Amino acid sequence: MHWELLGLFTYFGVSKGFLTICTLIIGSSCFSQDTVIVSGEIRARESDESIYDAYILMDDQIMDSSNPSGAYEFSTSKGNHILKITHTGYQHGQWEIDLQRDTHLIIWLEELQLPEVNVRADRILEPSLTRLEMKDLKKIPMLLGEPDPIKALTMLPGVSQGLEGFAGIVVRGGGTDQNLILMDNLQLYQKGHLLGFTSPMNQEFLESITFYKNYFPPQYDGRLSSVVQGNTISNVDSFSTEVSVGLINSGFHIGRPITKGKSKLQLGGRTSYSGFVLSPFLKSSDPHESTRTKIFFYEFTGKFEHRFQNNSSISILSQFSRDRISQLTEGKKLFPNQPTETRATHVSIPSFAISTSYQMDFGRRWHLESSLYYNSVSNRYTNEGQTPIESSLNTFEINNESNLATWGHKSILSFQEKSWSYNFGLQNEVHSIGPQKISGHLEDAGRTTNLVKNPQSLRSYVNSGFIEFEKNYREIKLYGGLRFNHYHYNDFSTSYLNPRAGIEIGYENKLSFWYVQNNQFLHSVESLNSLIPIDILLPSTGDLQPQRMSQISVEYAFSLGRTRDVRYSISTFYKKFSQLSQIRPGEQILFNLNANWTDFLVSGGEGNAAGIEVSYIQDFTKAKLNLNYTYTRSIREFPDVNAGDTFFANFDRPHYFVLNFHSSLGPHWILGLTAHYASGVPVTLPSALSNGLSGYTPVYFSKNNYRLPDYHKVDVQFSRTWVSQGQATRENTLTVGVYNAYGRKNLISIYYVGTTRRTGNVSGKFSGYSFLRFIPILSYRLSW
Amino acid sequence: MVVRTILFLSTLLLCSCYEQFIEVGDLDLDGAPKLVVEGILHAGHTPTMHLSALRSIEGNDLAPGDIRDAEGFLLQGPDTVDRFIYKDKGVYVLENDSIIKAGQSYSVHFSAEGFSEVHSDDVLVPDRPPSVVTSFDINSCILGVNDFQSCLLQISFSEPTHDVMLEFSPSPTLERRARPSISEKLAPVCQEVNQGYTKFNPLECLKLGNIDYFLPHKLDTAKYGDQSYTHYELRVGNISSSYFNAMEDLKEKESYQNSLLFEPSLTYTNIRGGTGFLGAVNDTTLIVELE
Repeated sequence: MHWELLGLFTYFGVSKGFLTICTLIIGSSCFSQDTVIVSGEIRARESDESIYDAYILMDDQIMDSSNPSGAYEFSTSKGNHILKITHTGYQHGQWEIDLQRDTHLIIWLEELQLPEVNVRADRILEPSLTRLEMKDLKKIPMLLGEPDPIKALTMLPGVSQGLEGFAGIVVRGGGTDQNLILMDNLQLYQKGHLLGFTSPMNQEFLESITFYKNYFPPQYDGRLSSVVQGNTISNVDSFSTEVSVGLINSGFHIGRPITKGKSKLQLGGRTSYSGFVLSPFLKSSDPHESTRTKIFFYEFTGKFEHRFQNNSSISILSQFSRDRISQLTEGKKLFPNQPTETRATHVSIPSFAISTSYQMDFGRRWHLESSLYYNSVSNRYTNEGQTPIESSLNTFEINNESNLATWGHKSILSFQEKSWSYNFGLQNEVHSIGPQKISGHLEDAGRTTNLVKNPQSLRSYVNSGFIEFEKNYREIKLYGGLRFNHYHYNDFSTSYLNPRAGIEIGYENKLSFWYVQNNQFLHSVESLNSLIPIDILLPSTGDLQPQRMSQISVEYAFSLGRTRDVRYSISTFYKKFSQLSQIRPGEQILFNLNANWTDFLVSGGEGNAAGIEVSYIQDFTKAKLNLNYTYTRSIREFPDVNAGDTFFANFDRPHYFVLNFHSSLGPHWILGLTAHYASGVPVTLPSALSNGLSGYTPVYFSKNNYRLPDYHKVDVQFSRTWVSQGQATRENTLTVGVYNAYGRKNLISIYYVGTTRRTGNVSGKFSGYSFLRFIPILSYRLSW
Repeated sequence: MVVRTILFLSTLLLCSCYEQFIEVGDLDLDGAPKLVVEGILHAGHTPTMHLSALRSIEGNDLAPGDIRDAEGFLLQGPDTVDRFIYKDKGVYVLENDSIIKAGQSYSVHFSAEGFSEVHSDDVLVPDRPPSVVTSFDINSCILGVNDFQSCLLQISFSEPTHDVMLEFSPSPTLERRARPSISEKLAPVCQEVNQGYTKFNPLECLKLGNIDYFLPHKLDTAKYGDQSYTHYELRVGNISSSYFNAMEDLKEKESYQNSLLFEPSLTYTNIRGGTGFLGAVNDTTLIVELE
């Protein structure tokens, strides 16, 4: 096709129907007599959104790439040229073009129907990110049949799940507490609901998830290993309702424009109405005891947005949730005619978060976003019971509560020009922490003892400033920035300057290098030995210094095939941790009147993690295959743990392999299949029995001296989507399938049980908790 | 039909997911034969040491249980003080009945066929017992059900004390127990200084401590009839940090046998090449009359 670009404002329909060009001839060349300036914008045809990072090639030479506003500009010689536009996720375009004067081209690209991971861009600087679209996640088999944006990240290389039954993900040898989870500007402290089986974010509210593990833009900090940015739905132009019903939980989402084009409101909620699938896993291991367990959660989310006439907007996002676990155990009857021994444990985890965000554009280049936020989470545990002792009945009730509240502010001023983008920002946070409040009473032989421990709240302050930039220069992209953190707690103050930098070379085949440094000021007291969730956050102090991480990573991504339908990436990383903390060995965290919160953790840990990640993605006509393999080693060393010797980190999984395949089976059905294989995580077990003065005693020689058996499973699901016509057009989706389809007994913990025989000898054995086998996936989703 | 099939399959599948406690066999753990050496150096007494062999975690013998042919020595620095000889049931005694001296450091060394040689770290025997004052008031006694009565005994330390052991024996009704049943750190007294937030450093703690105990006085009449304890022997000792750590470790292991709220810790030992502990104590005995 050959065009002579003449005239004023010309609009062309272009070949194959996937690209449209609008041209504007801009006067005569003011550059030189032999060169012309070509400028314009790249936009998505369907949504008319700007396309960031599209490459513009002239005669197979990269001339420019589009900036976050989709704009590009370059100069070239007059005459005939071959113009190419390429961008992942869009149809590539190629045209012959005759340039005789300065030209402005607006190019609309048509989106490819790509499944799973689409790399796209947003207004903010988002290098080295992975963006998961929620509509694609619905094709992946998930426990409970609900698309879980957090668990879906474990399909990516370098990301593994911690343990089933424990919330959180592990990124590149880190810990489950090292991931910053954001829903827009709202930081969420909870890693999940229902023992981690569902996401802390209502998936119905989300449009996509942006995930950073190579490079964290300096506007993000506070967690060591990754950033999980949930992006809520922004396109609420008409009334919409979505209802989902599953085996364990159900949810709804309503979107409603209040004033068309100006105000819109979204409301959503989720609740579980039965923990019967999960509750058996909290049974007592003692066959003489009977246990009843209830697990329950509910969550409400709301978002209001209003756009003012002066190109500014305000949004308010809020979420409230509560998790409850109750376990009642009835034991043996010790004496006739007396009540049985009973004990009950209740866990309640309420959380509340709200943020208000104000955004304003100043002309085409400047943009301001300012947010205020508040979030709080409490962990409340109650133990109560009665024990018949001889002729008396001893009763007890003890409550243990810890809580965390954060007030925060974050402002970002953005400036964009043709090939440069800058962000300047400030962030301030105040953490108010109640580490351990204990109350209760003991009735022992007619004597009442009141238990009280109520230390005052602790306050810590983090004040930060940051600058980040991005520079496009043909096939080279530079990223960089600095973040300054000042931390203050009581009389302890410290400051950090965290540089971050990256470079990407190439466009379709891309080589990139990244370096990041960051801090984590909250320390997590997290027990992996308890099946009830213990996740208490503590402030940094002089003895418990802020944790640090620095990481260097290299990635090479390339495509093969005539239509570039096979994509590979290989990346490697090395990260170094310092001032790590971990739960103090031998310390009882809950209901411990004698321990101070400063004793919960040991500090001063060092660590490192290194690994290699390989990804293979192939697109077929109606299917897609994704294979990811990660090899990682993660080591820790603490002066006061494991006699000062190094040991494998709690979630060290050398091998982690994921296969994800989905295929269209006709016009209505989609088959989804995932397979996982992972090395078992380390656990600490006694190595032998001592038969000394104290009788038979298990002897522990080293920490994390054993690994759980390898973990593997296959999940399969079929989804059928059909449209029913009534007063409104309704989309129905029925999902059926099986989680852990071949019934692998994957262990999540092992414990030692010793039994003393009549001869006085001890026989011991290890038992383990196996987890979900053949769990059905069944959910129904209706939207209109 | 489709819905019914789905419901049937779901029910079937749910019924099959309840198995959770699985016996795990054949763990490849470090169960090599090792010597277990345990003993307490008691100031003014001749020590005894107990030797045994580690067993596999399943309770099977990894080596002969009774170590009869070990060669052992009591050392002060590089110098041999005395030689241990086998007595009975894994117990070794000193050949020349040497007496442990207060304020001195000792170590032990053992070797036995089939085991690696083991030796302890140097252990300092406390130079004196703690200075203790006890006070008892009959009016402090509390009545429980069935005339059960317990009385408050206050124990005051008149000089700074770090790690102590206390052992109560209601004599002559019950025999003295084989090992101290109570060991206490005086840390809680000191921690109050800074609202409970400052990490306790016993070396910097100069505040004197008090410990309160309720001692059983009159027993439950429904079960024991009209019986009472009126005479207690109270043994109070300054103990070495190794003794304290071993007792703490033992209490901790006993606790988390039945609890999932603990992070497992390594077994305390100051025996190199094997396991166990060498502790030291310097104690005094007080008589407490409850009437």
